[in-house]
Amino acid sequence: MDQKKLHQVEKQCIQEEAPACQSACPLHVDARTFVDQIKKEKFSDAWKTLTRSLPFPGILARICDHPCEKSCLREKLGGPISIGALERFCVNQPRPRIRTIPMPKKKFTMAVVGENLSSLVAALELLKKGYEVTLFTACARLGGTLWDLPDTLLPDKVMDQELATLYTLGLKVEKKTIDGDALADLLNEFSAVYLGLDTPETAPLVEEELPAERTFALKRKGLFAGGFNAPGQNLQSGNISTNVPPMTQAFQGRAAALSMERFTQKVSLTEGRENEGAYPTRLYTNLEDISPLPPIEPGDPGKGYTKDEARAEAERCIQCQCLECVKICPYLVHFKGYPKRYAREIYNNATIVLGDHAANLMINSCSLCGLCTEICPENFPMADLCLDARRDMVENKKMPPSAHAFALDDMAFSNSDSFILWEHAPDRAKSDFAFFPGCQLAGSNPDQVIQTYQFLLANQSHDTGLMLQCCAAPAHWAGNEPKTGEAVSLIERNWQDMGRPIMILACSSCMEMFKLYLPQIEVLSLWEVMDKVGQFDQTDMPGKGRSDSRRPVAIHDPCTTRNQPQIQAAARSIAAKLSIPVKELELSGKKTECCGFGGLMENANPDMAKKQLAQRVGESELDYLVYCAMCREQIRGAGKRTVHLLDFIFPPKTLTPAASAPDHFIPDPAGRPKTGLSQSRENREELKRNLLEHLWHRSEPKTHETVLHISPEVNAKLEKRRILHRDIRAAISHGESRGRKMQSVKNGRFLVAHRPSLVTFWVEYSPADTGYHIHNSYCHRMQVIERKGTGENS
Amino acid sequence: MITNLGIEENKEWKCLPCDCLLKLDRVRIDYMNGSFTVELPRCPSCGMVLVPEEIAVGKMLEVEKLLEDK
Amino acid sequence: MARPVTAQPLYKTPILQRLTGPVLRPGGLGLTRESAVKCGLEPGQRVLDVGCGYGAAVKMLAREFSLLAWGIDSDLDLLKLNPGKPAIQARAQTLPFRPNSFKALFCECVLSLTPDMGAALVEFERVIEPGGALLLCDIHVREKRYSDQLKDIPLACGFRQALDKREMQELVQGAGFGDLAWEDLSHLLTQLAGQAVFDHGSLAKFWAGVFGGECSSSLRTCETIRASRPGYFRIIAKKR
Repeated sequence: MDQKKLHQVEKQCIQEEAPACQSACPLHVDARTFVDQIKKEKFSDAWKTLTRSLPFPGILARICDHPCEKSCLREKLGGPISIGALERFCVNQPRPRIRTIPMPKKKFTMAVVGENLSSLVAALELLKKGYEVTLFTACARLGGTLWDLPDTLLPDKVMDQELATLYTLGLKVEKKTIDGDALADLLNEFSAVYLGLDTPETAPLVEEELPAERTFALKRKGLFAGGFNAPGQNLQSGNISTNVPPMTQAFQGRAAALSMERFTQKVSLTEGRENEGAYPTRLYTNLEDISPLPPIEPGDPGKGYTKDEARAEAERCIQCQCLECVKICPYLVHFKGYPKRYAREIYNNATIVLGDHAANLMINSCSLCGLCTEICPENFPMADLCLDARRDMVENKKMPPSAHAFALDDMAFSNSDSFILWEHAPDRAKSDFAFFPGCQLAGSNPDQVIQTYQFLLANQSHDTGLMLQCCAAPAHWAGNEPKTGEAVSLIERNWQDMGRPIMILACSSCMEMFKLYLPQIEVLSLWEVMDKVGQFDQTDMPGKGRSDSRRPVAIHDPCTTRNQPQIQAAARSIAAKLSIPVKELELSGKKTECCGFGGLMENANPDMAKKQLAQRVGESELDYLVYCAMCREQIRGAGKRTVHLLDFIFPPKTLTPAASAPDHFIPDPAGRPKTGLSQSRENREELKRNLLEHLWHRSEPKTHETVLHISPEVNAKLEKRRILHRDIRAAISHGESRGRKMQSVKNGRFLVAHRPSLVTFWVEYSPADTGYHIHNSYCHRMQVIERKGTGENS
Repeated sequence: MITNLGIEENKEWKCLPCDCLLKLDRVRIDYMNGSFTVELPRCPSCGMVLVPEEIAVGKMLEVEKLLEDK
Repeated sequence: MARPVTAQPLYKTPILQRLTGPVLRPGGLGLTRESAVKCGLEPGQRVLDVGCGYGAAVKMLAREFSLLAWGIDSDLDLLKLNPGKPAIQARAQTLPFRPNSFKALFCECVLSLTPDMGAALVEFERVIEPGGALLLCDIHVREKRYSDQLKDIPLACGFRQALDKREMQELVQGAGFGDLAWEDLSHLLTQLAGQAVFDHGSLAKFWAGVFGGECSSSLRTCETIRASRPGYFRIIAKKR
């Protein structure tokens, strides 16, 4: 990602855009922060906030005409925040001493004409920038019509205090009326001249109708003018110097001063000034949960707010933010930022907060589910950002191996001879269709793969083949383009060899991969097919009418169906046909949440996945209905009773009737525990063997596997550490065959180490009557460099 | 320099083929660009090394993450 | 402006000394050895180790390469422990040598400790003979924006003034050196960090040890340094 792309992407996140009040203020006073500070009774800070943006804060805070209030989002929720009144309250609080750092003196001299507010502001701004300023006025004193304001609003003492800053900064004042000739002299003598049109005597000096927009430049070079109010009028028509709102006067004076500076520096007058003055903000704030509240009125309008009243009014402020995505996604919350910052961090590849969150972990923890993009008013592409970053890391060999190793190993297993298979239907010579169940369904419920396949043979087409493989999703999510390419090519080859059938996909993640990488293959969702050809309303359909199918369930859409509403509809249609009462979660359909498996979140950051799941399962008391095997395992693993749609269509059976299941049906599929990593591998291997043997009548010799006796506690440890039963068998076999093992002198147990590839597995075990008892197992990636003998240097 | 990992002297595990208790000794462990010399229980005869569980899932894991984190 | 430092410099803390050994920096003597080989030094040539500390490198260069090796350090405590070695107490910015005195000058993990790095480099350039080499190793940072926070670390250590790659190269070139060759040796720093984790259990515990106990200073130091993504580099440059 280059700088340009970064800026484009950053721009899409509007969190840092100004709130409506600030953008509507011509001087961009940070009213949101100001009101918050009033609420917290941090009056000194509130003063500082005003001073940051307001020239002559003592004056302007009192007389401000608060255009911000018209834009306040509270307007439709009770009434805008009385920002003006809060400003007037603030100026009655003790004013902190604010140090200003004087700018180095500049060699240009500026002339300002007029004694009213816009001229004073122009002079102040130029003085603060270090210019020598001479102000020309016919009056005896500065301030003009400001002195006409009642003392209750703007006390003389305050005027003197504020105007004093001009003298402190070295303002020169000349008592002189400027006529046309004098103006010509000024333009010769000074680098630039400002005409304050709010001082009516200057009006005749202006030839044109209006100063230039944004720059306030007049036609004559070096001449600028401000302090006018001319909606629909022009300077020549007169009367536009009266009733100019104070904020307009101040804004124009400031803007003209900037133009004058740029003029003397001979740089562009317009560059970068698009957001000067009032503009509509891009910030979006969700007002759904805000209840209307009327504004607090001061008990004594003459005296203004008391401290309590001010605080109460300030508490009404919504504190406009966007953060729509952060509100909804535990991942975005977890890393304590929001997308614009994340984009910058990814670009800089730096740590986000001072702490132990590394950018690597942040990049690898996103589920890539796209919910934030869906919610964001500007569709911020967080998933694209993270995926691109992962690809960069892999390409530059900076991807930490432990992030995705297990998932990639699992994919390699699914694409090995242990699982991979493609066949035409038994006794058929071609495949018009092919069923692609995906590796996770096969690992989670191999029986249902067989039942679904037989269902398709019976209802879709006799020429439906079967393909067992991994769809490349793990490699894609890991940002590993070479491995993705390999897996995709494998599918393509097998598909060609099968005669290019239409693929029926059970898994929506597989669907995403096919659409992305194999657009030449026509694909159908299993759910759409089943909805179309399944005869669910037949009374002898197994599962129909069972008592447990009448309990309401909340349906969870896999995140990869976010933009596939037809698949979501098909699943619901099937459920309806089976008379399953389905409730919708709030975040469902287009707004569905990820189960934590997506993007390999579970692999790279199990703690993050736990948080993600906690949020999801907390959203309803009901059991969840899913139609993706990964969602099934993840959500069930988080402790929520979860039933897969196939559990209703093909209720699981025992081989022999039992007291609890006289009709063979295992009661309560929603209670079936999470399958587990080792079992998933075994299921896949067994599935291939079963299919070959029973459908295609080809037996493969089955290796007799050592029996392992593992307690549930130890098994839980293995799951957490991602140690498979096959890893344990391999380690024991390695140790036993070589005799290289350790023994405990306390209890006679054996301890063996085995490093088949990049991980060393340790297993503590003891022999049983059949097989072994497994007492403990752990692993590490660091490699021990063994040396023989004693005391030698390695 | 050798690091003491804070493990107590091993009194439980013996090397089966050599039939002797493993004793703390200098051992080299490598991962990615890092190479460290630490004290781990080791068979004085054949050199078989024991990595105790608390080291494997503790300090070792920490260092692995450090080295991966660039 | 750096905050006044109350504790002793990092290189003097026993915890660090146990970690690095007598050279008090990443890379050990192996690094110095490698540098000497890289610039093709020959027996009898005069070399200077700026910030020689205990004099381990000076000793090695004399012994293994038959060089006339000198050392200077501003820290008398370190020099005192190795009397009789050709080492003098002096500051890097004012080297007590005539111009063009040395064939090579080693400055290993020391520049970032000097109060005026630019002035020190100018001094180096003065005392190295034309065509001679500067072997500069030090810490750099890959994330610039924590510079202010780094300066606030209440402990004298190389991290506080660490520059990024570009600034470092410009500084060296600015002192009059040419033919700069930059090598990234960050794995040496990572190695040290890994060792620290093995010793103490975590980096936070290491820094707690340095500060005499876990405190806000130790935590902040640990986090700021980590956030700045420090690396280690070697520049070999020639005096024109």
